[in-house]
Amino acid sequence: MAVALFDAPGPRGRRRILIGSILVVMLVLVPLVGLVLWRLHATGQFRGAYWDPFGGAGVQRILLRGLVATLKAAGLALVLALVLGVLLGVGQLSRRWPIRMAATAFVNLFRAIPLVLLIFFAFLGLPRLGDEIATWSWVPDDLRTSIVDRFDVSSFAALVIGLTLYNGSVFAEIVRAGIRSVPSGQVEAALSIGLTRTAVTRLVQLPQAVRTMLPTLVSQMVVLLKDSALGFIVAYPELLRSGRRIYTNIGNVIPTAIVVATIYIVINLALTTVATWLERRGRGGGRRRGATVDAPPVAADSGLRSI
Amino acid sequence: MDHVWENRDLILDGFRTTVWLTVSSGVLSLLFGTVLAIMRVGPIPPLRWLGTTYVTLVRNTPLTLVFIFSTFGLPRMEVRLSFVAFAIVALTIYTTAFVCEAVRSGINAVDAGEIEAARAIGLPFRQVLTLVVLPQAYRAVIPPLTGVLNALLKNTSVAVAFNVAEANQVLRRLQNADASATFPLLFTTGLGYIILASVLFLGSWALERAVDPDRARRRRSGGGVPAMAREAT
Amino acid sequence: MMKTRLRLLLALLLPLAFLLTGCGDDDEGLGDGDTPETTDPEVAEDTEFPEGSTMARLAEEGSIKIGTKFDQPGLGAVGLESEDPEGFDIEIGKLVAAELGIAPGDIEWVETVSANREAFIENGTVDIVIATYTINDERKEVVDFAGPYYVAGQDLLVGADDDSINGPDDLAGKRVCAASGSTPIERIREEYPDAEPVEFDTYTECVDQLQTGQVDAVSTDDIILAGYAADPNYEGEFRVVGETFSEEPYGIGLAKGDDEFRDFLNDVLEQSYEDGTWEQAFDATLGASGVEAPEPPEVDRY
Repeated sequence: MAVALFDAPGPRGRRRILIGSILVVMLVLVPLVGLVLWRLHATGQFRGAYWDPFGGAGVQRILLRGLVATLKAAGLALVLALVLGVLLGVGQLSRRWPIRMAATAFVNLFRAIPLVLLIFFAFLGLPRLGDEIATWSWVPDDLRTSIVDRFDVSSFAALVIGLTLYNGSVFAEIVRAGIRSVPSGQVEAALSIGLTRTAVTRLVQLPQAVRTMLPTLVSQMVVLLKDSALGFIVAYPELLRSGRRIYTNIGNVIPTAIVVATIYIVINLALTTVATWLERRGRGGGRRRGATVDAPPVAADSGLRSI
Repeated sequence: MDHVWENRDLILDGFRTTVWLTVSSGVLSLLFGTVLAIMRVGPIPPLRWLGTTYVTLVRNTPLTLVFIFSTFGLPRMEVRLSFVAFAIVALTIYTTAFVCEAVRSGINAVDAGEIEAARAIGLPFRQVLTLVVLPQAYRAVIPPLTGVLNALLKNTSVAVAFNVAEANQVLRRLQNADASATFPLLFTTGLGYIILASVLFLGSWALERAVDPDRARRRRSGGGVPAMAREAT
Repeated sequence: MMKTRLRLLLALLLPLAFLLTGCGDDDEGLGDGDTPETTDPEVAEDTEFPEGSTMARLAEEGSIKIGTKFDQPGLGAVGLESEDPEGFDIEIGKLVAAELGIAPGDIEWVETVSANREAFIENGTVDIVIATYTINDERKEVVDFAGPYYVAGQDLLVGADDDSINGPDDLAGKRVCAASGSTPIERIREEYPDAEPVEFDTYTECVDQLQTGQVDAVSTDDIILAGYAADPNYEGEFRVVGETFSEEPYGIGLAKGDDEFRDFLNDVLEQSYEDGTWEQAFDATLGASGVEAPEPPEVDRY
């Protein structure tokens, strides 16, 4: 925490905090946790028949397969979204206005639309589009079937397309903010020694922007991984859908939800730890170069990174 | 396009449900999220732990899983509610964590010097918070909160799989009835979200100006990230 | 500092290690050997099909992708120990595959839910769909059907001690659950507007909500409901009302316009009616709950 809102307590203050803590524990925490545990117990959520299957090879294999499917979709979407994000981010800062407008419109459009709808666009819309294109008169006849096939996307592809479009747009904003955090003096200096605009972006702005962006990018990976659970809705057999297979067979929704949530939380905390570490490292090095003198927009804008 | 026009009432009803989910869980999350944020910056350790644990757990769990927990888990614990209410529970549980973080970032944005000054003249925690920090944090918190609410608006779409007739469920139903209307339906629904998001951002912008005209102007001319760019999920 | 980080790392790694080692135990007693007895049909050899036909392509590839339900007890359902679904629909799929020279083990089963069956056929995710798929004119506009291979009827599943619902006319003010995008949910909406429709992706989710009292009835084809009522997971909890209010001919869904393939599928079905493999398939699956195999329906070559 940046600022302390209260003074370091003296002996009386410490005593009061201690009393307050005890009261809070007795009056809030214990009843709250107790109530939850009691409800869980009273409705039989702790019974062995609900938990024992998680020790069995069948259930573990289902969870592992689901985890692999989740990582596959999230990993592929991450790579594609990074490429898209850099293109759009640089495009948004282009000096040519048609490129700038197009990139900005794209980014704002795909961030205003829910991911569920983007996935529906790919899943329901693309096959229709393929059928439509195949009927156009200028399309060579021998290409028609392959066009129809090409546009027929699986639930995996629909999920990856949706995740890529959305996260690519978010990454674009991160890249843009990162590039703008590079002091303009450096750009001017680079231009004055005769580098082209493209070279300045590639050699001066992007490498430094990556430093500022990295923690934010890693945090956004948490969002991407969580969002991959929307594969549930189009029946892509990712981790959550695998969990569903367990609880529809055993009827143990709550234990399964707890186990699956634990897996997500563990992975995401690992990612967050990496992000924090990168941020700490970046801050140490950044100050020397003066890049973070004015708090860089990315780091200051916690709304952008935190969710 | 005919299919869309014939079913305009259904589509509007869908968006009405989307708005209702957003508003009701938005209000509840603002309430709980602020309480949680105060707990997290306060001097009582158990409350801080409670707040931190909640935020850590919820922030790293997919929303769809929270929905499964509320719509299928709560009935198993003999909690009986309507399906819309379960959706509101899920969205509130989830969004509260992000509101908490937004409010906390607002508190952190308050000038450290002012807080130190307030402490120096002997104000206790409660007065530092109510007289100095919160009045300023309210303003600083508008942009990040707008991001959280925009995310909430989009997140209501997850209810599509949990028997809530919101915009996407209507879309899927109408698409199922007439697949040739796929594109008109997709575009109409997309447009609906863009309109709702625009209303949200305009409202936030107006509110920010009303609360603190100087700051809003500074932010716009200062080239900071525009409100539209602030993101949350 | 170091210590907390180390502990955090350990906390992160332990569950993963648990998962990984757990998966190493795969082979302990869970081989393919304990899949229950089914009527694996004789796989045809030396098949010959017209060049360029779907049959020739599938026979050449040696595998077929069949879309089916994964959670419909008695018809198509996967348990926890095997990756392959079991049920009457599955047996029909095996019959088809066998005639193409494809062994049951080379069938790729793909989970379809009511709302995505047309999409999966149209976009080539599957070659055919055998998933309690009712033949109707609306669907015939986007896909084609072979069959029917079974005729079911829409019915109601209610709590065993609920005597307030004895037919579709008692549904006013009741919450009735059916799968999204299915014929039953649309029929409830249109013909029983006083009922409150509730929709989830699958019937298992509907039955889950019936069990916890969140809905009053589940409505779909009698045979599906019978599967749930007889499922040991729900023993004695539900009853099937027994007043069917529709006719649901189940067909095999395939890409629109592939008439050659449709004729082939119809031939396979007719042959199975004659040589008794259809009845065997029924007895081994749905028949296990005590239902007697009906007369197979007549194939409709429209």
